[in-house]
Amino acid sequence: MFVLVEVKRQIVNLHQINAFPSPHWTKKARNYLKVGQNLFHFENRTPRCVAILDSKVSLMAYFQYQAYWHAKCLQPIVTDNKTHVIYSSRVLLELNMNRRLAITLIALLTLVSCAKEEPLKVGYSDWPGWVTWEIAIEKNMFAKVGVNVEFEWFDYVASMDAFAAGQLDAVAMTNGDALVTGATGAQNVMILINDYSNGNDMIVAAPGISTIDELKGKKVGVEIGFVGHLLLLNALEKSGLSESDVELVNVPTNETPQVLASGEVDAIVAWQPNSGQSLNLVPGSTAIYTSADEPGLIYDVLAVSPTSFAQNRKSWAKVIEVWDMAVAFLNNPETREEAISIMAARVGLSSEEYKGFIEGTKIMSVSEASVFAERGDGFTSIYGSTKIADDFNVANEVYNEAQPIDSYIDLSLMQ
Amino acid sequence: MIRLKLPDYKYQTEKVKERFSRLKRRSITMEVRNLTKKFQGIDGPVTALKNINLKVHKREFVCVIGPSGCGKSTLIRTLAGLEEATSGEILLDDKVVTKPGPERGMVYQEYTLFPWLTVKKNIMFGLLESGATRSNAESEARQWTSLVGLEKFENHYPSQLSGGMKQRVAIARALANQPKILLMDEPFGALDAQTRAKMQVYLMEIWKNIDITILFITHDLNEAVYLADRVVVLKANPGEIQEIIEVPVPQPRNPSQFITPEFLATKHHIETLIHPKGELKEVDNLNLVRMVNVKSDIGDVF
Amino acid sequence: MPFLAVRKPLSKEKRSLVAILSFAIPLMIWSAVSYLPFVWHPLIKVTDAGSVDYFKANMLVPRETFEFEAEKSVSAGLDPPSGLPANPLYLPAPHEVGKALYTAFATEPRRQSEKWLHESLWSSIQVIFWGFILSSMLGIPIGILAGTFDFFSKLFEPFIEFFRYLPAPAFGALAVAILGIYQAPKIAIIFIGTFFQQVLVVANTTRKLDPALLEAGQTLGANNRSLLLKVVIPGILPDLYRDTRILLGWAWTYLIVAELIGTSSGITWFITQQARYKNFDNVYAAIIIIGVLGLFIDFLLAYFGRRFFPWKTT
Repeated sequence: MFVLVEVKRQIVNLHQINAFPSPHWTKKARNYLKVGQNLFHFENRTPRCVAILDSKVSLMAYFQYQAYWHAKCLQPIVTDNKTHVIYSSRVLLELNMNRRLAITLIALLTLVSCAKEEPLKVGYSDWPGWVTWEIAIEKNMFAKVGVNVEFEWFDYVASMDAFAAGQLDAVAMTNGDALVTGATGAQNVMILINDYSNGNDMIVAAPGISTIDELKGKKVGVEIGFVGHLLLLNALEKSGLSESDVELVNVPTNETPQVLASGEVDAIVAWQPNSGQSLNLVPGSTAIYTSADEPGLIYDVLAVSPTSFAQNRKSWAKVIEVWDMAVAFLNNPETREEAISIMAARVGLSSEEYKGFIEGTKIMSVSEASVFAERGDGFTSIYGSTKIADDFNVANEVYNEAQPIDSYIDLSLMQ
Repeated sequence: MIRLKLPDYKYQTEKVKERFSRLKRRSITMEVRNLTKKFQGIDGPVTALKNINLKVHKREFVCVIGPSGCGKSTLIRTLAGLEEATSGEILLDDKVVTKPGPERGMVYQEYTLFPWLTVKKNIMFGLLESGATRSNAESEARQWTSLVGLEKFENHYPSQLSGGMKQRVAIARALANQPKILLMDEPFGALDAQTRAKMQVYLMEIWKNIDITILFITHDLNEAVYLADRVVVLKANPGEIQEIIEVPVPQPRNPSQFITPEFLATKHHIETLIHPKGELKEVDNLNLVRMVNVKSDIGDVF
Repeated sequence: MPFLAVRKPLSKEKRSLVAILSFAIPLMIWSAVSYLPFVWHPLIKVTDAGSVDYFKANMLVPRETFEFEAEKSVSAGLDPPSGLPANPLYLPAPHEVGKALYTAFATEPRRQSEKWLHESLWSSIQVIFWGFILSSMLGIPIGILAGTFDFFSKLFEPFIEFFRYLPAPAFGALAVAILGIYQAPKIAIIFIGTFFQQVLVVANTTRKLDPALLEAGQTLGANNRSLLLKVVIPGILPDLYRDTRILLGWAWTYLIVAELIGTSSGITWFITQQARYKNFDNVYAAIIIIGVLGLFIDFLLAYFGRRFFPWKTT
């Protein structure tokens, strides 16, 4: 006899089922995973996880784990927002199932939920579009839609490292960096567009230079291979110039203000807060070109590991639902002040200081963003923008082979 | 210059002679056979000790003396087992020994007390190592501290004691293990003259009252003649035994014997062995010209 | 007794006076630079932009630029800008740092998931503590063995000599891949940063033990085991303790790297983040906190050291 059991919200990874006594279970589990989704519907919720067991063996497992279960597992299940599991098993009892079978189910549930009930882990870092998640965290929006997600605050580069090391299910990155991360081994799928830079990225020129044309033959400080470089190329192209018309000086982005102030270069390319600092530090300097001139040059996204996406599709859908709630909270004039203060607190700034950064970022609701989710060329489509980023990365030898753009983008959950 | 007329150092009174013949009939505690020790020096191998042969009788007090660099310390360290002999052997009660052990107690010039242990615990160290129970070791250590007159200091740390007191603790610590022989490497070298004289008297007392054989290294002629039954005189390069002298000064010794003819004669003889006439080399001479102004207040010190 | 006497200890009163001065002098220099406009103040803080189009209130401009613009507007018959001398952002005045220091402890976190400063500090201390304890649990025994037996010295030290030149931060990505994103990789960085130095330092300290003590132990009948446990270890303990105090300082220097690995947390992440947004008053406040904490721990260890090793004080 085979029994299909719902386990809350989390797919039991197949390798965990491997931990059960016999290998052919795993095979059966694979076969039944899909079938099982239709078998039990509790509280109008689709079971996320199906595990299969042979009742005879599982009964043994039950006896074996009974003591363990009483001592350890029952308590956490009840307290650790997993009441759903217990409830489900009660339902099983109410369904007049064979009592022994029910006990078995409970035992299995216990086993499974003890083994794995981990939340989805998302890494995010200091960029206004991603700091918006803080609103959802602070306002407990994830619990409201019933999805178990943990957001972990990182340094940007450290967050991509942790994702690449397999420690995170998802990470907030730019579309360009998603390609770099994927090309260097950490496959990922962009499932949500958070924002595009709308002025935060700037070309700041020393006093006396007010247009891109005037940059011809001048020195420009930029971190080569990064998004600032891409912005510069875009600006030059629009003015009918090319990279060879200016002299590039490789400068780490966080040092650009000092470099501009030193007079060593005639312009720098940087994003906030460095771009704003450059303007403040060098009186008379101006932003001659910003990302607002080319919306969509850089998209900021949520990139998920393909495995987690396949296994937790429904959860990710809910995460996207939460994003919409957070953006609504930010855009609602009544709650905007509170939203900004939450975001500012995350990065350790006053609301007043942080407002400027938010304004330079076009933070979009799902419906706003879906416009950019259409296929197309050029910057108004994430596909086009990503393609340009890919060409740029290959041209600058960030990686060697062009990436299959389509495999990096799956915005189906945004529809 | 008046020169004292001294007797021959080899002349012994009947009593002394009789004592030596008794002494030589005693069993041999330590025997050194053809001991040679070579080091690898900067300019090739150096022979520190060459063919040392020596027998130390039970409860005998032997001093070893010699010019600096003659290998006195190497000898005693080899006897203690701290250095390996290149050839030859060392027998303790007819058994060959090669490694250090508690049956050969060692006392150093620098005390080498364990600074983290109190007086009592320093003395207990060897006892506990030889398997005594803590309470036994403790009561025995107490006896030893009182024996060396340090009851009041049994809970003091070494750094709180004077040099003489430290050396008494070191002697007690070595003796507590009831060694067959006590090896002492210039033990009083770091003490001031007064303390040293006092320690010599103490040591004689201990030697008299405790069943112990002593091999004592010194560079002080008075000390050697005053303490020893026999004095072993070494010479340098290579370190060889030059002569073994039976000290004709009668036992028991006391400080008034320092100016007896036989004492002075022995001392004088050892002196000539260690510093032969004309040995003073040119390098040791100062090369001074008169630099004091003739008109200076004190033109001439004499 | 004069203040300057070669290798003579000062009297008690003079000692405390000089100790106070050692803090007071830097503070006075800092105050002078901050509050006396003629000392440095290379910038002008604009109070009224006047007719200069790109000036804004509270903007910092170099003195020359300000004077140039002022002259230009005067000669053009326009409103000259006005402003006050100021120091660059990265040199806040003592009272600003003092205020930041107070605010840091007294202000309630603005988000529910945010930590109080003392909680961040506590998390940093835990990282240091565990990194250092783990390192010591391995490093001290290995160091003592290497310092006592040539066998262990030759077995461990060549590799450690090689490894200690590898920068600990380079292992950040590896630590995250193996140990996850929370405290464990941070502890690992502290461990890597401390351990290799510790083995070498402890081995060296062990070698410095007076060999005569070991010989004395041998002539008193101690075997290898007893020599190690009853002579070597108690003999080096005070020096070992001193080494440990110095190495603990090392561990602190690795904290700033460690806290940038994995999730961002702790006091040094606070410093990095505030520096990124040029809030230097907060940066200095946090630096002062770390300094005070380090000093406090060291005082505490010194105090216990006197208790632990009574034979050293007399």
